[in-house]
Amino acid sequence: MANNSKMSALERVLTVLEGKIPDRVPSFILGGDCDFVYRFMNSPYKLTEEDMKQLDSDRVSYLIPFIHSIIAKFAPPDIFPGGIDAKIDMCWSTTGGGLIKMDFTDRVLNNNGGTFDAVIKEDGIPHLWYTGPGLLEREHIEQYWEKEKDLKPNPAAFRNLSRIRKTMLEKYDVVVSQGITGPFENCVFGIGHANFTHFARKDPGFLQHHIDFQWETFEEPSLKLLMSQNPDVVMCGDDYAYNKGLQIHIDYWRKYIKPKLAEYVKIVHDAGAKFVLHSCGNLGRIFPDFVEIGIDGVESLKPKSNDLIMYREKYPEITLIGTVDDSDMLIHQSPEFIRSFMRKTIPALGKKGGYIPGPTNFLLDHPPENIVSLFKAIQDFGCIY
Amino acid sequence: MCAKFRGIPALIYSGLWRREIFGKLKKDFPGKIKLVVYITDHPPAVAVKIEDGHFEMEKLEEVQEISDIDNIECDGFFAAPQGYLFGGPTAWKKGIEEGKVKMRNETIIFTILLRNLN
Repeated sequence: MANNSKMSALERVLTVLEGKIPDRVPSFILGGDCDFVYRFMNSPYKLTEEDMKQLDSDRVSYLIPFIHSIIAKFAPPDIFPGGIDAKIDMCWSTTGGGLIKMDFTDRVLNNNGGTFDAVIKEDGIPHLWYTGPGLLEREHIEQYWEKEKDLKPNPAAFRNLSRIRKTMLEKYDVVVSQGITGPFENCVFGIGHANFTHFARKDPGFLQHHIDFQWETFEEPSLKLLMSQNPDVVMCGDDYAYNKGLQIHIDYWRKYIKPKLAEYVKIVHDAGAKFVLHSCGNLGRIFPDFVEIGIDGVESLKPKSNDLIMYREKYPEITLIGTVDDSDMLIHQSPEFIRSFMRKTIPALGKKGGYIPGPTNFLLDHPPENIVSLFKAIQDFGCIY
Repeated sequence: MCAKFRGIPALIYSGLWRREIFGKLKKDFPGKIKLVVYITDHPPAVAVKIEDGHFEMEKLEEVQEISDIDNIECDGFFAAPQGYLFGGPTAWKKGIEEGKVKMRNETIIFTILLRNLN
């Protein structure tokens, strides 16, 4: 199929986020975990030694789960000689704070107070993820507040993020949206949902103090460091919902989280960038709030949990990003099915603009041929304007 | 799910796995090397063998005490409680004085740790 692209990936993505019509529908991917990397590197699409020589010379990041080296492989051959011509226009990378050690536990905590762990399964494939709150008692939270100095963000991490973004844009025509963890995850990853709702009912001042502490200590300083590097698109991850609704009562979300999220958006907009939110689950009840605080795009949007056609009609201000079911179709269906599905879906959701399709979450046990089929389909059927 | 490794050994494994799958391990370690890591409050100890671009990690159930590590034939080792590992050089020095930390050729160990934990 002919390559009808006229815009660069950055022009294409910004055009969509500004509510205008691009040359074609852009595509997006969050990244992929070790399971997907294993499958990809054992597939016919794997990075070759020649590919890796080029990627090394361009200093492309191999970090998992952001997998920029694998995303580069999807480029058309005129950009990357070994590319598989299934172009990805936008991806993601984030940076967190450092690690902290508290007296009440021998585990090392993330800067938000959460724990993480690595587990190696019997098949030898690693998994690294957040594993639960580390600040389980009121006293733990108070001790955490005393670690203020250790929680300050490291400017070097943001300079590195900027280098990664420029490399992918200049060498591979891929926009790297960049961000930090949002206020809800920073709070509940540290203290847990049970403590969140307990303090919201019994001691709202204490909860507010904790949220304000995280904002002042590392969220606001991190956002300022991020914006000092002039990114074009900021995407912050903050999972608010389960498949059927919000993880906390909407009144609590509006009281404790929404004001901070609005601050995130303001800092990003004041610096001239677009703000995209990654949030899993059914977000229907708070979509009007997203419009109110000026969010430019929302990413994930699993179709079984969200009424995408309704969002498209009712909230045209917000770009829908993701939307291609990662937990069922992209694992269990065939490449032909996925191609045919995208051929129908792209015009249905994208005909008025405001649409950047891609898998709804990080890739895990997905057959690489399905992912190649998805991005080829977006490239081939995206010229609908 | 049955885990082969957890905790610090799993973090080391994860980093080595990433280097291996992207074909970087041979460049990092052109020769043959065997290293032992023993987080004394989270046993067992593990041995990491790297050769020709591949690595293997195995549990060393025979290491029961910190002194047992001297009997393992290897190119370098690091043994410490988990809290000391993340405490940096000051904690290690204190740990050595207390007999809770032992290390040999620790530079190689920390080259792996630092390269692979990020």
